[in-house]
Amino acid sequence: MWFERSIASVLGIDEVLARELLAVARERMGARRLRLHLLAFATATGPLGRILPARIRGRAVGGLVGCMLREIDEMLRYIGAAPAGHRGLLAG
Amino acid sequence: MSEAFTADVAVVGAGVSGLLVASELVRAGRDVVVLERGTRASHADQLAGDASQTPPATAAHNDESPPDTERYPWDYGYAVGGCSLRWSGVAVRLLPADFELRSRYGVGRDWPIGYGELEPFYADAERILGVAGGPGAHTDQPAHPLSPSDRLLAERLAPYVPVPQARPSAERNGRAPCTALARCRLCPSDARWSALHLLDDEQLDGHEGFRLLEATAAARIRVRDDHAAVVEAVRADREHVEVRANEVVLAANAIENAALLLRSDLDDGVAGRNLADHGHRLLHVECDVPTGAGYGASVTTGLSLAWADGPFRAQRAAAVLLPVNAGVELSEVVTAQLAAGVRGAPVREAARWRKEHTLVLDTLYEDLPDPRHRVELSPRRDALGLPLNRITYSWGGSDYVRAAEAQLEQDLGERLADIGGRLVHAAHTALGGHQLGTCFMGAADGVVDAQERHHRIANLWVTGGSSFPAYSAMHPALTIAALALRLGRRLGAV
Repeated sequence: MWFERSIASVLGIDEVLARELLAVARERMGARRLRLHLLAFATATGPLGRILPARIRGRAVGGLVGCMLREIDEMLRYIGAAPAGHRGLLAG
Repeated sequence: MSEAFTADVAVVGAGVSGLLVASELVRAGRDVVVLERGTRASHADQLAGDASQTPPATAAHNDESPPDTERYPWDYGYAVGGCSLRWSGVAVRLLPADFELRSRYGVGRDWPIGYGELEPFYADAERILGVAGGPGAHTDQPAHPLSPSDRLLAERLAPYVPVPQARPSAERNGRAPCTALARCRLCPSDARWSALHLLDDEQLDGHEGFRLLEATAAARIRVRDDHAAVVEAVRADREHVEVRANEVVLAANAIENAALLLRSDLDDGVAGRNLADHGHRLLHVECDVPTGAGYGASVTTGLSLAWADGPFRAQRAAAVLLPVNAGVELSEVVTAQLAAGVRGAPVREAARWRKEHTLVLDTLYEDLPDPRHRVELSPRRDALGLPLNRITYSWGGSDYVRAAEAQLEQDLGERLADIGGRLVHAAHTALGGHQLGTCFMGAADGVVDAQERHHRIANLWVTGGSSFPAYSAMHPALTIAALALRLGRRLGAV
């Protein structure tokens, strides 16, 4: 899908991870809202975005990014770190 | 129409305090009626979102700020279980010195009781709440392990201890232990203690001595001859309810306890004053070494007491510091990079570096009582016809707090110098979740005495965060629970 490739390219990740993070965002916000956020993201990070004030660009991308990188495991996967795990950590 | 109930004890509020008082009384063979403005949602209902998305009419906030002032973000709701439905589970004791601020350091107020008086109730509260890592050495609930960030800081910010938390580390009462998902405010597995657990664990549900009136807001206490004779209440459907009892316990939060006294013409020149909330200041400290951020068994697992007590409290506030294990919010970092025009691998690399090298430290400060911070009654009314609570409160910190913030941040730079620690961001965060004061315990100048008995109305008791005469820097939940147990046992023994 074009937007998965685009997201992957902009965020510096592979398409598989982009697809997974987008699936998380879709679950949180629903398909319709996700489409709107994708449109805003694509606009803000595309050629048209260069003429937008930084504040507007930030708002346009923040809605999607905030929904893709909300939980700690999503953040860790994005930066390529090992997942936090669950019970394993309690053992020390 | 009005419905009437009689009981040995009427308890207002079905949160931590109210249900702990009630459970002690029921165990002692007393008949108890508990009035709760909100309704009950099971843990499953809460997870499904029903509880937060469709609150009953009585659950709407009923406070306002004075005209032309900014609203403070008070965080409370009306529900069976109260604030315990969405707390992080930090269950620390106050320090002995916290009870003696005036005697030791010449500022603030002393509590009319000392740490020793409360100590056995702390231990019992830790047992009931299933506190892991409490100082009472509960062998069945060991402390959660320190996170990598804690281990980096433990020696540098000593004394440093595991955070006692009401998140059992071992199975308890048929509930699974904490699964360490770090979503404590609404625990996915119901391991983190909530007052709803009391209804099952203490077998209150169905007990003949226990009656819970949900969606029933206590409106006023009718006083005759300095005796609390009747609790008048109103239901969501506007039907009136009366509860006659030998003893009346106000066990709602500090805002509602005060408001009920005011609605009952029991101001006495003090009720509602000295409202407080803990000031949080969130610090971002970048380090030259990896901080281990992103890992840990909970939102927080370690607690620095380096600034919790000392003679300095004569001039500046005590503080506690807890690393936030999750570290920086990456969405903010990534969004800022994209807004600045960065694309691709450098975005991710910037995020990775920030995540791995930044400590996020939550700091909490005590403050001195300020009678200007108060609850009053508004001329406007809520959906039930009760006056709105008009709350005068602002957070900018007093000079006492600001001096403490400056010192802590200076000390932090020195203590973390060997790992290149540098403060890159500091911001106040008003959370509004620790409502304290308003009905404080005092020998003669308070609203209630050392036993939490109203100074003028001998059968009226006020418990909870509202009873705190001074605030400490420590999270208040365990002390609120200990005070409730103490009061419940006292009334049960009468």
